[in-house]
Amino acid sequence: MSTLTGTGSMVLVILRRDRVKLLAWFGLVALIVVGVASAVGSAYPTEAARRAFAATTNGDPAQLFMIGPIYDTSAAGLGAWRVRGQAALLLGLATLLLVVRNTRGEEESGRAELLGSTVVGRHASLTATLTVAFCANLVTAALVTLGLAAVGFPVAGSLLAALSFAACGWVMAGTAALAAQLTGGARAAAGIASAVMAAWYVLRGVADAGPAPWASWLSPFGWAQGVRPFAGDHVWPLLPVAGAAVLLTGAAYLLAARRDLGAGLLPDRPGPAAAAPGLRGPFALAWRQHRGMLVAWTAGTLLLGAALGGTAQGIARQLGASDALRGLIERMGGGARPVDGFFATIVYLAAQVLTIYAIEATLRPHAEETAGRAAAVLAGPVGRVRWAAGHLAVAALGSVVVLAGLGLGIGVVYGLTTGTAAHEVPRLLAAALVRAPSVLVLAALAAALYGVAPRLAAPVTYTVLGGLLALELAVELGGADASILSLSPFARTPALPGAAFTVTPLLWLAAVAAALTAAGLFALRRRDLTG
Amino acid sequence: MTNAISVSGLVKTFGRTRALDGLDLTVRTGEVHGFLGPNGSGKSTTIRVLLGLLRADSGTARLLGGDPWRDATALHRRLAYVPGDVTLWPALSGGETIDLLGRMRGGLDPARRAGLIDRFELDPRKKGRAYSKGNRQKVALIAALASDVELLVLDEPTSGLDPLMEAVFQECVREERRAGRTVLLSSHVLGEVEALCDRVSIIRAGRTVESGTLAELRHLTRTSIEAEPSTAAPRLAGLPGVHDVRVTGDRVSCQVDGDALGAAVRELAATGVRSLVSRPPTLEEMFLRHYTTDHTAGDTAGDTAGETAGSR
Ligand SMILES: Nc1ncnc2c1ncn2[C@@H]1O[C@H](COP(=O)(O)OP(=O)(O)O)[C@@H](O)[C@H]1O
Ligand SMILES: [Mg+2]
Repeated sequence: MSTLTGTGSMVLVILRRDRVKLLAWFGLVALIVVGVASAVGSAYPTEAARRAFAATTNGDPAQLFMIGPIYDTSAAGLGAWRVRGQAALLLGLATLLLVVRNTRGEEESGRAELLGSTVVGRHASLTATLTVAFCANLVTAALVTLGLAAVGFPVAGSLLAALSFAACGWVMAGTAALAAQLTGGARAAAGIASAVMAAWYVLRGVADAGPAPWASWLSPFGWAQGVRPFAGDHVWPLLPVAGAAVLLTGAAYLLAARRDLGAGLLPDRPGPAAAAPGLRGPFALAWRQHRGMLVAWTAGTLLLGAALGGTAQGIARQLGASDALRGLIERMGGGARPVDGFFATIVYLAAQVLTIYAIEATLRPHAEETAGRAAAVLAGPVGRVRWAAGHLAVAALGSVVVLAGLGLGIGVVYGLTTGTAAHEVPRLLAAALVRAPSVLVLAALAAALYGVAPRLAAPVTYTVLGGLLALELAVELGGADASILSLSPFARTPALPGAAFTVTPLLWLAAVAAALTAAGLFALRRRDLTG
Repeated sequence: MTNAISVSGLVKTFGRTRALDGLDLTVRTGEVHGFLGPNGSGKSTTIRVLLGLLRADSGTARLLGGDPWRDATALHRRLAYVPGDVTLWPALSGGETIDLLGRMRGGLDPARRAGLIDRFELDPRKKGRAYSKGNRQKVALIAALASDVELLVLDEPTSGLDPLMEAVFQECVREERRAGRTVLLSSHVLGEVEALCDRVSIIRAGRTVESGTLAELRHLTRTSIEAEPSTAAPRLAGLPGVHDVRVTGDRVSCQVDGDALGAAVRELAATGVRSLVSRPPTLEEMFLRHYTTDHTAGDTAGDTAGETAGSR
C-alpha cells in the first residue's frame, strides 16, 4: 500500500465535512475583496484625489505599516492596495484553520485513527488536506480575478493581484501543515501557525514603515506585495512564495513520516502527578480550560491597541481624506476632535471582531459536550446550570478583559506619545469597556442557542455577526441608509470617546444578554445531553 | 431499601431509532450486576438515563431511592461513573484529572488513590492527550474506584485494557463488593461478567430478555451431558427437552433443558451408567443462544452477537 492510497476519497470526505466552512470562509473573502477593492475607486473618483491620497499615504508610517505603499494611482491600483492586507491575512487564516482542522484536529479527535486503520496511506490525510487548501485558494483567486475584471479592472493585473493573495494562502497551508506536526494539540498548532503569520506580517509592516524597505523581502507578505498588480505586473515574486510553500510542505511530510499518529514532535512536558488544591470544581476547571485562549487574545488586543494608539494621529488625518470613512467617523462623533472619532470607530469595529472571542468562549461547553467530557463532570454532583454558568462567567469576564486590553493598549501608548496619559487612559478604557454589553449580547445569543439547539449555535451566531458586519459595509460602501444599523447592538452603544455617554442603551443590551443567557440555561436543564 | 436501581418499562427514542423499548432492570444493593447485550442494544443509553444525562420518554427509573432526572445532583454524590469511551482534558495530567473528578465527588482517599495508580501501573504525570485508550480508561477507573461512593456505574470499563490490567480490574471489583458497594457493570466481555457478577440482565434491542443469577439463567438453558455406555441413546432421544443426541463409539452426548434434567438422569441411571460428565452452559452459550435464535427470528441485533462472542 502506498502512503498516498485513499487520498482521493479523503479529499471527498474533507469537501463533504467542510463544505459550509469552505464556502463561508473562502467565498466571503472573495466577496469582501471584490466589494472593497471596487468601492475604494468611487471614494476617490478623480485622478487628482487619488494622487493626493497616495502621496499622503506613502509618507505615513502608520499606513505603510498597516498595508504598505501604494504603487499605482489608478482606481484599480488603489483598490488592490486597499484590500492587500485584508485579503492576504484572511486567506492565510482561512487556510491555516482548514489545514489544522483536517490534520491535527482529526488526529486529536481520534477519527484519523479510525480512518488510518482502513485502506488509507499514512500521508493520504495530509495530502488530501493540502490539495483542498491549494484548490480553495486557487478557486478564490479565480473568483477574485473574475470579480475585479467584471468591475472594470485590467484583466492581467486582476489575475496577478488574485494570485498574490492566494500565494499567501498557499504559504500558510505549508506553515500550518508544519505546525500540525510539531504539537499534539490542534489549538496549539493553530496558535503557532497564526503567530508565524502575524510575525511575517509585522516584519513586512516594520520594513515598509521604517528606513529599510528591502527588509520586507524577508517576509512572504513582502513577496506577495512585490507582485505590484496594475503597476508593472511582476510575476517573478510569486516564485519565492511558491518555493516557500513547497519547502514548508516538504518539511511537514518529512516530519510526518518520523512521528507516530497522535504524537507531536515537540515533547509534551509532563504535568503534575496531583492537582493543585485550587483545582476542585467546575469553575476552576473552566478557568483552566479558558485561560490559554484568554491570555492570547488579551495579548493580541493589547498589541493591536498599542499599534493603533501609536499611529492614531497620522491615521486620523488620513481617514479624513476618505469620504466613506469620514461618514463613519462623523457618525462616531468625530466632529469635535477627529482623533476621538477615529478611536470610537476602531473600538466600534474591533469590538465586532473581538466578539469572535466571546462566542468561542461561550460555546466551550458545546465542545465539552460533544467531546464527552461534559458527561464526566455532570455525572458528578454538579448541576448543569452550575457547570455551564462556570464557562459562561469565564467567557463574559474574559470578553471584558479582552476589551480592556484594547482600551488600555490604545490609551497608554496614545497617552504617552501625547503626554496626557492620565487623561487618555481612563477615557479610552471606558470607550472599550462600554462595548462590553453589545459584545455580550452576541455571546448570549450563542448561549441561548446552545441551550435550545446546540448544533445550530455556532453557525447561526456567526451568521448574525457576519450579517451585522455586512450591514456596516453596506452603509459605508453601498450607501445604504444608516438607520438600518439600529438593528445592531454594536451601533446602539454610545460611541465613546467621541459621543456622549448614555446609560439607557447599555442597560437594555445588558437586559437582552441576561434574558438570552437565562433562556439558554433554562433550555439546557431540560434537554438531552449529547456526546 | 434493597434495590439500588430499579427500572421498568423504560422507553427512549432518538428520532426514529428506538434505543430503549420497555427495558426493565433491577440491581440489588450490594451486588455486582452484569448488564449484557450486543453493541447498540441500549446499555449506554440506559446508563445515561440513570445518570440524568438523558430524559426517558416513558417508563420509570429509580436510582438509590431517588429520581435520576430530578435528583441528579444529589444522587451523583453517592455514585461514580466510568464511561465506555473516556475522553480527558488534553491539557490536564492524569493525576490532576483523577483529583479533580474525585474532589467534585467530595474527595477521595489518598491511600487508595496511590494504591490504585500503582496497581494499574498508570503514569499520572502524562497529559490527557498523550494517553492511549487503555490508559484513559485507567484514569477514569482510578478516579471512580478511589472515591467513597455507594454505587459504581461502569460502562464497558475494560474495553481498552490488556489482560493483565483486566485481572487487576476484576480484583478491584471484588474488593468493592466486599466493601459493600453496588456495581452495575455493562459489558460484552462474557468472561468478565461470569467471573464477577452475582446477577445478570441480558438485553437486546432495548428490551430485557433474561434477568437473574447465573444459576437461574443456567436453569433456563441447556446442560450438556456425556455418558458411557451409549445404550440409553434411543430412549434419551425420545424424551421431551433433550436435544442433539449423538453417539460416538460407546459414548452418548446430548443437550438437556433444565426441567428435563431429572428425567434424563433417571434414564441414564437405568442403563447402568459407568461414567457421566455434565457441564452447565457457559454464559457464552446462553448469550449466543439468545442472539442466534433472535437472529433467525429476523432481527438485526443478531449479527453483532457473533462479533461479540468472537471478541472474547
Ligand atoms: N444520541 C443519539 N442519537 C441517536 N441515536 C442514538 C444516540 N445514542 C444512542 N443511539 C442509538 O441507540 C441505540 C443504542 O445505543 P447504545 O445505548 O449506545 O448501545 P450499547 O451501549 O448497548 O452499545 C443504538 O442504535 C444507537 O445508534
Ligand atoms: Mg455502549
